[in-house]
Amino acid sequence: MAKTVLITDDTAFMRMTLRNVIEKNGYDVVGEAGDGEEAVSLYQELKPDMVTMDITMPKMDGITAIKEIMKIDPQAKIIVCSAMGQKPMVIEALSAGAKDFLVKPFDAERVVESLRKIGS
Amino acid sequence: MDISSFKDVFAAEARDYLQSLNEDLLSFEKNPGDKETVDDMFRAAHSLKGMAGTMGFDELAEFTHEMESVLDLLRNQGLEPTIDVINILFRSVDTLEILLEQTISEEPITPVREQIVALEALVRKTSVSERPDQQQDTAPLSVELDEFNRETIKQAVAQGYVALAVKVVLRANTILKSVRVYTVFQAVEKVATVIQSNPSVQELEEEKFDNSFILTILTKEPPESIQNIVENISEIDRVEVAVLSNENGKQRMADEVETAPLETAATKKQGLTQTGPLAPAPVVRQHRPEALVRVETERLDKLINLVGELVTSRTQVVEMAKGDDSIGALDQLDRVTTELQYAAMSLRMVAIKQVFDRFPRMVRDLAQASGKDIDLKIFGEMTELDRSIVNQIGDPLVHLIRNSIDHGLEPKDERVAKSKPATGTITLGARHEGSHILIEISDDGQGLNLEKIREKAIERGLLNPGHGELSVEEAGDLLFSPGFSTAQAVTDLSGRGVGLDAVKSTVESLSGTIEIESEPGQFLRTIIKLPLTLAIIKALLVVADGETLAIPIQAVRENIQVEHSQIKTVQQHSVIMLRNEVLPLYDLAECLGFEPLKVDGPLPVIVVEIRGQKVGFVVEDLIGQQEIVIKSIRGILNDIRGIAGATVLGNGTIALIIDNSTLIG
Repeated sequence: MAKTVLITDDTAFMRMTLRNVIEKNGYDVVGEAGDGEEAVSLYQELKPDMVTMDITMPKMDGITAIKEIMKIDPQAKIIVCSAMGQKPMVIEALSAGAKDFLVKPFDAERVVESLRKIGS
Repeated sequence: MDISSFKDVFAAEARDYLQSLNEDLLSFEKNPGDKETVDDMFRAAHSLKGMAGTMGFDELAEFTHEMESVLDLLRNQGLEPTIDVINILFRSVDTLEILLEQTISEEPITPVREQIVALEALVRKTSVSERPDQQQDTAPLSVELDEFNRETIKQAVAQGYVALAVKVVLRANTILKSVRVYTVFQAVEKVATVIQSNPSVQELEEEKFDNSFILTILTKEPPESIQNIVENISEIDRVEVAVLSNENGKQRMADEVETAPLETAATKKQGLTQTGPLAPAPVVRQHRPEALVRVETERLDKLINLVGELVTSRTQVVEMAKGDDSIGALDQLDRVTTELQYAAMSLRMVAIKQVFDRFPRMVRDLAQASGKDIDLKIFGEMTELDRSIVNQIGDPLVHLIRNSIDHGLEPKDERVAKSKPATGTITLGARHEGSHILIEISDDGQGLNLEKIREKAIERGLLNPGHGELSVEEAGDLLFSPGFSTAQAVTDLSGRGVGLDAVKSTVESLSGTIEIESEPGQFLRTIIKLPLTLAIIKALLVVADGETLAIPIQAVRENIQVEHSQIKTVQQHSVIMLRNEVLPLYDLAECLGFEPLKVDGPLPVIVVEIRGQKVGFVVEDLIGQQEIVIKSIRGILNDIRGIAGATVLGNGTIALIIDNSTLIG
């Protein structure tokens, strides 16, 4: 069965881009969250194999969302997505439990590599 | 956020990358050993690829990918930077430019197969032979350990640990290398203790390393499992693991350890601190703050417009308050608004670099095509001027530089015969002078051929056959007159029908002037003088038929008083004699379709130069000189002959601004 992915990003464009890449490579995008709060509740509901998590988002930022999800499921596999220049936040996300990071603008190969390595 | 707004950012950024690719390529051609430039180009191509990929511009992404591969080879010295390679890269940048513009404007994409094949060929050529950096990489993995760490290993081994050297090579295009290193540390430290890192943790954190680093670790895991763990991290090119000691304490790498030079106390101390995990320390790397902000030009225009209005109402208020007690407070308002005005105006200013930047590449290409050696010197590229002028001055400069290359600079052998340096020099520069900017284009070529210009002018009927020797000034005037071209043959470079007169009319439409200086046989220098801004101009205020009108001072030569008795009629047109020259007179009011002037007594006449011709405008009254803010007139009033715009004066009245060049047909 294809591995399931939950996409979190506040811009529809980035969600669309990611969905496109992820689905093309044989993964199943089971949900899209527009902010951290939504990501946490969708995580509980959908129990995806992997989560992509944007950092800067309204309501609840990505780092808080990672911490919340890790509380619910210490085995959660989260890939943090950052923009250039967010290095301190990426490190914070990684120490909070994110398994890998991607830097925007996304390189499709990188996205797939991340999913493959985290998912294995 | 919708995609179209994304696209604007993408386009602007992509164009920047292309420009820097072009510049880097030029400097790389001059200095092929410069690794930094290649790195820069590689990064630019890589960033473009990533951006294009994100936007779903597949053609663009594919193409940049090919370029990136070639640049990567150059970077690793796997490919010799021959002239062929550089030319292919130049052409690729051009192709990329076309691709980008087509993609942005959603035009059909021109097939770029051919160019891709050329790039691929470069990559294939080198992939057979082994790349030198790989040979170096196959050297046996070893680390130098200090005494402290050797002791640590000895004790750990006694407790059943194995010491391993783990060499991690990051992929060449890894973004945020230091964070990637952090993930490696995170993963490794789950099953091992890191006792040393080369380069040091601090250097890794500051990204002061190429792409690889070696960790010395103590673990109870087998080497294969460490290898697996690290290989399963993203962006890792490869991992090598070597055993420094086995559980029996037999030091396989004893030799290396023994021969390791004694470390200084300082590094020893560093070794101690390295045992901790890479802490999420605050970013100490010199992160350059954003010095520039991209703003839509429309917003800027709006701001400047508002400031203009504010300045106007300030003047109104100040005038109303004259003799009033509140004048003190208003002084302050006056100062602040004036400063605000200048600050807002400065937003319109951009460095002329924007225009100059395209010339190194152009000159290079033209030099290659014409077989001449040309050195382009640029100065004053940071000189600022109004954005609207910058946008229009490019074409005239292209024209002048092409002329210099095509007609000015002599072929190499001719230059040598004249004992000039074989390499010709073209200088392009800009500088401020008062409220003007001077742009200078000069070449050390053959200068003006006065005799040839004279012959040609006579042939074209621009000069009387009996005309004697020309002065440089006269020759310059002739060159800029319509339909004059001395090119012996129409080449690819210049002489495409657009003459220097087009250059002159563009410059004049920007309220500028153009001048030529030359020493025949030695040099030719063209000087373009432009106002710093077109938004605020000095104008002469006059009255015609009761209306206040503003005449840009640029064109005004003098003001005179004329008696009715001085006016003569020649071919049904009023003229006066002004210092032995015939000056045609026009009634300004009549030209604009107002009631013609009926005044007895002396008439104020404004002498204006239009396209090199002096004419006099008769007006009702003269008010004086003033700085005015130009407001364009839009809608159905757009493009009225003779009117360039309008301005609001200090007393709140509106004055139309006269456009001299279209006033008389």
